Amino acid sequence: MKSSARFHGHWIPLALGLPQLVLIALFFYWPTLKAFWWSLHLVCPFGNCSTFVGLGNYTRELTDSSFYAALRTTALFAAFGVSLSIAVALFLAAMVELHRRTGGLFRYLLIWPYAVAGSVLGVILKVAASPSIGPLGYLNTLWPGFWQPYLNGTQSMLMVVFAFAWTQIPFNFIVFVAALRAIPAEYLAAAAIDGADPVRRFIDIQLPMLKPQLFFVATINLIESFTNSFAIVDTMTQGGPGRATNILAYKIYTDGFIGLDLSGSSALSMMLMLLVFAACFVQFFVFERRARQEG
Amino acid sequence: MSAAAIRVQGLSKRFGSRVVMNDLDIDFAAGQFTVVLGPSGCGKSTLLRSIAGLEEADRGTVHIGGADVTRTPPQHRGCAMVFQNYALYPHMSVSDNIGYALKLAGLDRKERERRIGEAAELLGLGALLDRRPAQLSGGQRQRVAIGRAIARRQRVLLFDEPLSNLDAKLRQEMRIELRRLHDEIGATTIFVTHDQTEAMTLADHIVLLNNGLVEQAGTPMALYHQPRTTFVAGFIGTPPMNLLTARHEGHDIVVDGGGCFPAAIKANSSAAVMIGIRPEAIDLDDPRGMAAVVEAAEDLGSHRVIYARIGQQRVLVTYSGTRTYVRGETLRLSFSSQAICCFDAISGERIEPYSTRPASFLAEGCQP
Amino acid sequence: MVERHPLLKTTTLILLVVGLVFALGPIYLALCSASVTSRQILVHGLALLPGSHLWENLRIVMRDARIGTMLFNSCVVSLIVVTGKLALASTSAFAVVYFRSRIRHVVFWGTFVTLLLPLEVRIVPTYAVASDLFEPLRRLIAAVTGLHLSVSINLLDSYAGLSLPLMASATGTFLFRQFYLTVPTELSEAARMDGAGPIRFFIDILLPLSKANFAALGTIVFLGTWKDYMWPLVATSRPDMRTISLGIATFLPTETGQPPEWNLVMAAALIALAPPLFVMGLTQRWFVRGVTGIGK
Repeated sequence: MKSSARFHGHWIPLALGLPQLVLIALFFYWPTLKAFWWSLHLVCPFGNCSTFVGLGNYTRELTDSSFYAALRTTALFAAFGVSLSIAVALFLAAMVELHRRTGGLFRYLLIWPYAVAGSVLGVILKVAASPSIGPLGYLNTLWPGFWQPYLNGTQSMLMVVFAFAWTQIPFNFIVFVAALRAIPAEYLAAAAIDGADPVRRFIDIQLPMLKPQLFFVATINLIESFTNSFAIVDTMTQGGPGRATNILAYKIYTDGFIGLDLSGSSALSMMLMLLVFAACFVQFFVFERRARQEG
Repeated sequence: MSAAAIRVQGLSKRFGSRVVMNDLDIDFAAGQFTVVLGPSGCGKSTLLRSIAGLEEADRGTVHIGGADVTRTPPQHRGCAMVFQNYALYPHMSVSDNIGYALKLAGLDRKERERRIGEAAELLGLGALLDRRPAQLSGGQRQRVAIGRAIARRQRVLLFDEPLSNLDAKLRQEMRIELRRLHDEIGATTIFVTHDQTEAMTLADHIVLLNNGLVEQAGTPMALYHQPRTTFVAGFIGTPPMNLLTARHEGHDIVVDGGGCFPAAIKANSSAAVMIGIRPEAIDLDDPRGMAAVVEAAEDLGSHRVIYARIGQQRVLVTYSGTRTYVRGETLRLSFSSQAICCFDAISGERIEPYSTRPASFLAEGCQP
Repeated sequence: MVERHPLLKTTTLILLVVGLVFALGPIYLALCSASVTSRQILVHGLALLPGSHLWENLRIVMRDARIGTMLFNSCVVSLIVVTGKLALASTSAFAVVYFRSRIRHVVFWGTFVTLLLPLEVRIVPTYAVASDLFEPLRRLIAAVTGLHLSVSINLLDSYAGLSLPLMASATGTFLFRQFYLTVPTELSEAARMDGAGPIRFFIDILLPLSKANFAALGTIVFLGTWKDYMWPLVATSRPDMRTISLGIATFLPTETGQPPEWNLVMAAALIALAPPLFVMGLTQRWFVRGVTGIGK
């Protein structure tokens, strides 16, 4: 019966919503449309002439090996980055929950990384990972030539995945801690009386009840891995060595702003949008519905 | 503060496929305390909110003081309302809560303070005026909510289950207080509740709703003694009226599983009827009465309640004597035919008696 | 929690400390390396213990005019975005939750689609839009009247250009909507009975109740804007318009040139992360509530 709590009239809600809608139209809908339009045309580097090519740009990208390389890199980066951020955050949250009364300091400090910008972290880690002066350089005294993050693709990938997870964990941690605290203590007490030790309790009771938050966090992390990874990649590896860390978002940027290929970059944008959209769709309609049915 | 009569005509409302108000026609007399009573989902709150202007009915009109206010926004209807959860503004002090409407109405500070002071005095809130709602007890919040409503001096006061969040003792105190306030203020009051005790103790007039329809409207005593339907009979009174299935045979009414008595109603012969009898109107120990077996007995100190069975039918008796009964004991029940209400077993409607000749219940065989 | 497990408690405590070392490690590393001399780093590698040259290094970096300008730019942009977004989010969510008009659906869906597509995936065309803000209007006028106007506004290298696109998102509106939905409906009904119209209700009742929400969203938006890298990267070309999160990369030594002064790079990184860390330390309670509010 929500409707009874509402006010009448059209002008006031319109006036209240309009500034936001105008802004969104200008900086969301219009650019999205533009990307779509460009993706169907062959556009000159500065955008002032164009010929319609239909799906030509898409087929060009879809037959380009560098597209698949970027896609694979993105998938690898997303898979490792997201699972690492979730696993570590969940682990930390579960342990803090065990120290519910004394864990305040951890709850406070473990969130700090959220305030650190990806680029700042990138700069710090780039220096820290340096084989000549960084702590990991000691590995090279054990196995000469082992730690070469700026030459070895796997190592540079590991580095950006670590950096990405580091920036994501605080958010996940906050969500998980809050969700764990919201589980009624009676459930855990009942399970304990039934003979479940803390590990069993976590697996059998807390984890299943965290499902909605897990899906939510996974979606957010996935989208972030498509998008927010840019700062890390740009400061640490610039997509290299070779194309080892050239994720899709970075390729869109370099193709568009450095290669000045607006059409190709826009086609890539559209495909990345589709990916993000699919991720949201899955979260919203598949998991959300299932969670509601179970709940 | 002058009072205003309220007239509701043809009011209808449905939420989806559920009809919550079905063509309601109700008059609320000026200055009267009317309780709208009914089980949850009967449409009583929707009726109140339609009068307040918070809900728009699908069809029908609302008149307050003779003026059609069906399309008038709530603040111009001359109503003040007390909500079930009080709806006090959490960030305002008690006096600001009471004075907010007065401020919006453009009253100057002096007048506002005078009215706030008056309302506070009437409700004993004087010491609490600077507190926030969170610093008050449930009963105090309730008083503030009432104070907020009466400070506006509207012609109509609306209460939406205002006592349901209070504990039993406070509820009783507030009942007496509300009645006193009404007698002092004299505004037309509509009070919605599902609690028949509140209705019986507060109301000048009760409107009993069921499934979006008026089951019966009248004084509390009329509803108690002359229920129009089996629904009313079962809703009013704690414990409610006993309803026994019976048949109308010739000149007699024969109770299933028990005796019979001379019929004083017009009904088709051999028609199934229900007879209603209040638990306190039953005599337990009449040698001529019909047999009933005690199933359980409760002693409440002031009176006792016995759960018994006549054949398959459960019957409840209250009495204030000192004699105790035990499970399995046989009672001899009888009652005056004047205390009986007869209902049509199918429609549930009351069948008016054509004779008020006193007659007693007879256990075996009905004599002409 | 229910029973005593001394071993479990100790093990988890140790693991938590390990987690904390990883979480604060990079910050600590930056702090240590920023507090030693450049020579020490070149000889011994990055410092793992704090030295005594922190203030000296910070002073050298702060003397570099770039850092002051960047800090100023970051502050200006973050404050514009925070103020703008709080204003837009609280009002548009009000329109979405408290009105019966169909307009609210338009506002709702028009706004919420942006939750799905972050700025980064449409970065190139957004750049084009910012460089020529009036293009849609010009096209519209040309299509309707046939007039070809030559007005244009270029938002690149301006505070407006840096902040407006960041405001065009739905997170804030979403957060406020979630909060408004928890406000008892009777409150708005009581206000209506008291004679308050929508705007009165919004100002007198809803805004005072939303204080914690403003703090929460304000912190989230401030941090998000401060940390943003990609948009400032494309929206600025003049060095004096760079924000600190973008400009920090310019402190990394280029391939050629003098021996790199790593201690100063780390000092710059410290300066870049100090303000947001300070803001979050101050408002953590609301910040956490805001994040969990989004998660609901």
